[in-house]
Amino acid sequence: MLRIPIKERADWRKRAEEFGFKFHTMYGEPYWDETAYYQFTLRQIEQDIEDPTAEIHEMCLAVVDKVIRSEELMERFCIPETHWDFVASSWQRKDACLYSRLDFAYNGKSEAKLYENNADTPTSLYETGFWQWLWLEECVNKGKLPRQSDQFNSLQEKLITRFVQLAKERAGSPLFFSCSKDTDEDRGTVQYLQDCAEQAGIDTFFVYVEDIGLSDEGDFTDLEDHAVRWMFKLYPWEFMLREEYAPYLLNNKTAWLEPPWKAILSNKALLPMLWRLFPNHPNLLPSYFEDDKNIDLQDYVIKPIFSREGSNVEVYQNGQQTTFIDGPYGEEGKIIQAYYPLPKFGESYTLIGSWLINEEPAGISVREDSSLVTQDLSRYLPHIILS
Amino acid sequence: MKRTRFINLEVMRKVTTFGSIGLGTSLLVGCSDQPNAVVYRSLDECKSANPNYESQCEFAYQKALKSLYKTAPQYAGLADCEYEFGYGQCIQHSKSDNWIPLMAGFVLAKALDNDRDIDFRYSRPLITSYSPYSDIRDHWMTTDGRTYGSRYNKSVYVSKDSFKKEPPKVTRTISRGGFGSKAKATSSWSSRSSSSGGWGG
Repeated sequence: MLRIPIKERADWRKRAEEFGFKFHTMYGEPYWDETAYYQFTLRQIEQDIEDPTAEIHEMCLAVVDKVIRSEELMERFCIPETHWDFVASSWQRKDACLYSRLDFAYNGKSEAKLYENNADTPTSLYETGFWQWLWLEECVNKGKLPRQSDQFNSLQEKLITRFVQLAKERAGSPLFFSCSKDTDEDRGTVQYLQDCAEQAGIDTFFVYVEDIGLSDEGDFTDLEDHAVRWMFKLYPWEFMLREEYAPYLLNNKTAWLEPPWKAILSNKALLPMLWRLFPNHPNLLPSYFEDDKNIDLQDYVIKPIFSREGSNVEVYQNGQQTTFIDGPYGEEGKIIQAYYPLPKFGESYTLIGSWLINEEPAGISVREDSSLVTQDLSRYLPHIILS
Repeated sequence: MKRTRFINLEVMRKVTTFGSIGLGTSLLVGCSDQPNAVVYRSLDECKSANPNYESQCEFAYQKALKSLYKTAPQYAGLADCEYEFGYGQCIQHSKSDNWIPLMAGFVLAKALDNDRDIDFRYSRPLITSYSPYSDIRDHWMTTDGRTYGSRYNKSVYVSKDSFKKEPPKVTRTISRGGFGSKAKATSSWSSRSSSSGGWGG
């Protein structure tokens, strides 16, 4: 695993505009960064990332299966009691899912360690599935990278294949897509999924989360009063289960992507549960609930159960707090995870996102941050495989 | 190979560049494909061909026009737009100030069930070009870059999936805005709330 500088494609900003990639620069800082790339060996990709990704996903499903059978655990995972059945029956029906992203600390030598599972609303999908693919294609064509360069990235192919399957199961139903207003990044991610769904022959429609309506018969609606019977939402279940329309989820016919059972996986309570069920697994970091007895960690991180983008994370070294990132989360409880700093390449700390499409490992994204806790301002770098 | 084998870049493109979408890449009419869609050059043409369906024509026309504004290729300059579509064939988009081609016609699907000839619910805008520099001169084209033969044709073959099916409607929406409040509350707390607000992770 190497970080190698490379010249940017002279016309990449123009290409970005052509393909509608609007969020390559965010908050005035570069987000897409092609002044360097990461190079992996095929062995690193397959043995250290792909195989553990598949295995951890299976382990996560075992956690879901345990949690939905236990009221105590449903409480630990902060699923509102009113919606226990809603979440549990979604699991028992085996409601279809589309994608998720496991975040790993990996340095090319030691085992990849799971940081968290973004199973409900992962982003950086477009940059991964399409944009870094195009980068490789163009760099190879221009002779800037060796012809035999490959990439761990079959996201787009797998997404379309998955949509084709889902379209068959749902026999020609239109699929509505939704995300919050005022965010180019989320809208871009959703547009990408719409494009993939359209290529799979699905009719797609879009409505912002804030614009979703409720009909007199309990259907959710878009702005043109269409009944929403199948929806992809880039909006977390932990919010939906607590908002005004939460009660209307219960007797409603909508099929959701991601399905309600993902509420359990995208939740940081997952980490201590994984450690309980699979202690000392080489890809897991020791993790505990706040009130667990006999926590024997000198260096650890405290994370709120619902934290996003690194908010409210506290780092302790030798029992002393060394980092604290403020934020709006934490009332719902916290978890404690052994401190395992991200590897440093040059001036940056590097985080690997490993994607699953239809529960199969499908590719990786590489993000860098100038601090140890990856936040929204991290940069996205492309990668190649060269054996 | 560990990556996607092939991506159709034309489909992924958001700003259509017509230089690269010639007739060679479009879905041409197959010999065995019977015409299954009707083209009207104007609202009046639709109304006079369907005397008892004037309001349906209106609906189909408005729908196509709305779709044109959403999906037509946009050009920053009038000259670039006219280069592709011909002199006097472009208008300024009301929202973006960019230039887009005029709607040269709209296409309606022939109904799949037989109780009516034409299904007015399924309409799409058509554009064409009068420019000598354009590959699509005198051809019908939908805004996704597919061509449908000469613009002198009045019925064309359109693959079924070119028409989106209208999802079922509810009788009445009684309220809106019951989702999205947590995002607002949490993001207004965040120091980057002015520019952030995404809920992806």
